[in-house]
Amino acid sequence: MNEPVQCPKCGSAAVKGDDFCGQCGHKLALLARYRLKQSGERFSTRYAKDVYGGNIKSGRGAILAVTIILAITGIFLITASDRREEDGTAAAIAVFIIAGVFFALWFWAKIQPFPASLTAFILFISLIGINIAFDPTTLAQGFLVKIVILSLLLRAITSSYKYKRLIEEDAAQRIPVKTAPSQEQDPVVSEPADKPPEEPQNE
Amino acid sequence: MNNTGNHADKQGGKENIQELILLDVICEHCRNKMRPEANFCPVCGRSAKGRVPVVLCVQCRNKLRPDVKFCTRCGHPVGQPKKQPPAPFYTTPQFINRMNRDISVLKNIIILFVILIAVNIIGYLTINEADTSFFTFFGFEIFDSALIIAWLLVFHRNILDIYYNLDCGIRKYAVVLIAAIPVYIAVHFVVVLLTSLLKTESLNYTKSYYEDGYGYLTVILSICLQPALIEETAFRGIIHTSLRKFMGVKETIIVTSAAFAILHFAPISFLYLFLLGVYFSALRHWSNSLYPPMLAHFLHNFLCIAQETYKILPE
Repeated sequence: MNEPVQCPKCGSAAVKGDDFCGQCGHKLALLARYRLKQSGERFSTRYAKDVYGGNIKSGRGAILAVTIILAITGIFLITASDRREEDGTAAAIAVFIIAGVFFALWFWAKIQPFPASLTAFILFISLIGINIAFDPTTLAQGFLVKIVILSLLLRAITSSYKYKRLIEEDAAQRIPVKTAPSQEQDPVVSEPADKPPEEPQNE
Repeated sequence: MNNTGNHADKQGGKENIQELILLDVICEHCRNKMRPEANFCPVCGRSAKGRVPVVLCVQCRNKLRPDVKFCTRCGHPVGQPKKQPPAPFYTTPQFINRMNRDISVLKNIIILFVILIAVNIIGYLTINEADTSFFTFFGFEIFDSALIIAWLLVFHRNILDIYYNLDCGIRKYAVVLIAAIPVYIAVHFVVVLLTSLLKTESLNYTKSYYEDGYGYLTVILSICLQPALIEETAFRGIIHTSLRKFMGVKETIIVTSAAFAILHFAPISFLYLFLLGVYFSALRHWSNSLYPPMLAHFLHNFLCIAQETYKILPE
């Protein structure tokens, strides 16, 4: 097992199987690079999920809440139109179309939360605007609910964007480690430790 | 006196701990950490005399041979403190600053959209009044155009170069010209279907202009040219180009078209306006220029007016 090998840099004896020379720290084995890579464990994916996952999920919940509210409003418009003797079908169909769009967004938000929550925010704030344009008093209806949903969606937009960026950047940083030997220059750092005893001799 | 003595003791203790960490010597019997110069293990009490205690690398916990200056497994110099792993990229200020800069672009687009909605609300609320003076009639459109052009010049100067991209091939303009009529016919029949299903009347765009004494030229300027130039600048120009940096082509087209469709303030027409927006956005992506979607938008609005005036297609 202890077969002697010579270090190509300092000439001292090393043991076969060593990744680094025990006397000068010179890298002997290609395997060392992979060991170094393993030692630096990557937490970025778990970190991204821990920090941003909750906000993304609550944004998706807000989209579902809007869908349910719109569906209930549509059913109410159809049933109430009989009693109030005014035709509410046009408004009900409009509400159902938008509810269907939000339901589709709810599915989309599972695959791509960033564009889905952005679209949901744009649609929801426009719906509030449309209501105000036709009847300004609707602004006060469920004001707190609107604010909560808008803030949840806004938080989901930024969080899902940051999540996406983090994962992309992480993937981009992984590729060079596999192909290019980026850690090759590492043992050079240890050279100053050897030099100080030599300097007094020169003087 | 006492205080200083204690202080000195504490310092000495700290130095010893530091030494222990630097060398990381462990007892070979119970594998407990011990001082390198100790003769007995402080935990199991067995003698370390005459034997060499096991020395571990502080970095990778590899068993070190007594003669080495560097760990043979990880190359860490013996006697040096443990290397701290480099800070992960997502905590570096460069990454956070870059991300915050991108998010400010995103916020800029959201603010533009919210302002456009507010302008639309004010437009709808003021248009209900039966005032036919020039400013209330065109004030909304003039303000809208001025706002979008100012927004483009102040915040999005970097996307101005797509306006110089006229040279996107005559073939693409020809496709737009040929596709305009089938696209309009499809939209027309969807509108006819919707109005007959809901028993409502479709909006007549030109009626109020003719009643107030404005001619064809005003109608073409106000209904065809202004939306073609300004809406395309806002949606296919500012919003599409900015969002493209954040997401893929399909997602950009979907988000832009949804914003375009909902800003018409007609939820019933949402679906066909959305498809129309997809058509314009696809032209924008295909030609990498604003002029084909502008031409398509102009032709669509022009055909709408032609249909209203001459009633070519059945209703």
